Amino acid sequence: MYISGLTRVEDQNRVMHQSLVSVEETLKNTQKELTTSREEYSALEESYSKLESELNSLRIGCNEKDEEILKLEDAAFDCYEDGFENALQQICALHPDFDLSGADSSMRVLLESFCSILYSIGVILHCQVSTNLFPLWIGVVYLIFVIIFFADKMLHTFSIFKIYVIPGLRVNPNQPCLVRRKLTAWELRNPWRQFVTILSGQQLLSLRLSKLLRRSAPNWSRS
Amino acid sequence: MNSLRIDCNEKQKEVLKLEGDAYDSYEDGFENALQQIRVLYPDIDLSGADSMMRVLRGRIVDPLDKAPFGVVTSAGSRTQTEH
Repeated sequence: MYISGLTRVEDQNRVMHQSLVSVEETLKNTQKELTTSREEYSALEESYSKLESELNSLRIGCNEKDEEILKLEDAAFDCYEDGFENALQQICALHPDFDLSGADSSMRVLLESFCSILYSIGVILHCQVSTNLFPLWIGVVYLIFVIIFFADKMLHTFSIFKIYVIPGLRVNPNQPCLVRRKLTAWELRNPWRQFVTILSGQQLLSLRLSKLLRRSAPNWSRS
Repeated sequence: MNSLRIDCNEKQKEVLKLEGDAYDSYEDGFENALQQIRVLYPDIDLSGADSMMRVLRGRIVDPLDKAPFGVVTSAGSRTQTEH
């Protein structure tokens, strides 16, 4: 009986020892997991701080580029004004007696081809709608003729359209005319946009168009 | 992050484009002045005007021109040595 009691105690002891060993293993595993997690966490923290610094540098870079763009846009104006002023100085040196006060960097020259086509459209609209002097097809043929005749000039002119008329300075469509308007930096960079702006009905163009319409009939035979 | 990168790249492209436009703007201003003068004085001879030149002491000179003997100096000295 004593022996069997001893054996039972030994068994219990063995079981307890085994459970202790398993608890120790679990503890070791947990410690390993903890170490791994800590390493992962520190790695993540490191990458997070890297990303954050990269994001900050990107933000700073973007802001700097914004400032640079604004500066360059201003510089484009300055360059334009510089070119204009240089030309005037050279003309002054070449022809000291000429009065150059009529030149203004905020003005543009409306070229003959555009004047002619604008004029033709005005004539056709005016004569057809209000006076009915000629059939519409004559006007259309004339317009096609004008467009073909000035096509090469138009192609060139389209790239340099920055327009607006000095009211009353030039009304003869055979002559180039000066036009007034402050250009924006954006327009300086996008000449085509200026043409679109004109077509979209800026005030001075409509003023000019109305003048053309008023004097359309007498100049019709000019071509 | 990606959108910010794309934004930055686009801005960089715009910066490069604007840097290229500076010369065009200069030429544009020069040509505009000539056109306006031609309108104001149709018979005027503007063949001597050149956007690459500058006016110094009342003369049109090349600002990049070098003085004799290969010494780089201001454009004004060229006019003095020539005339």
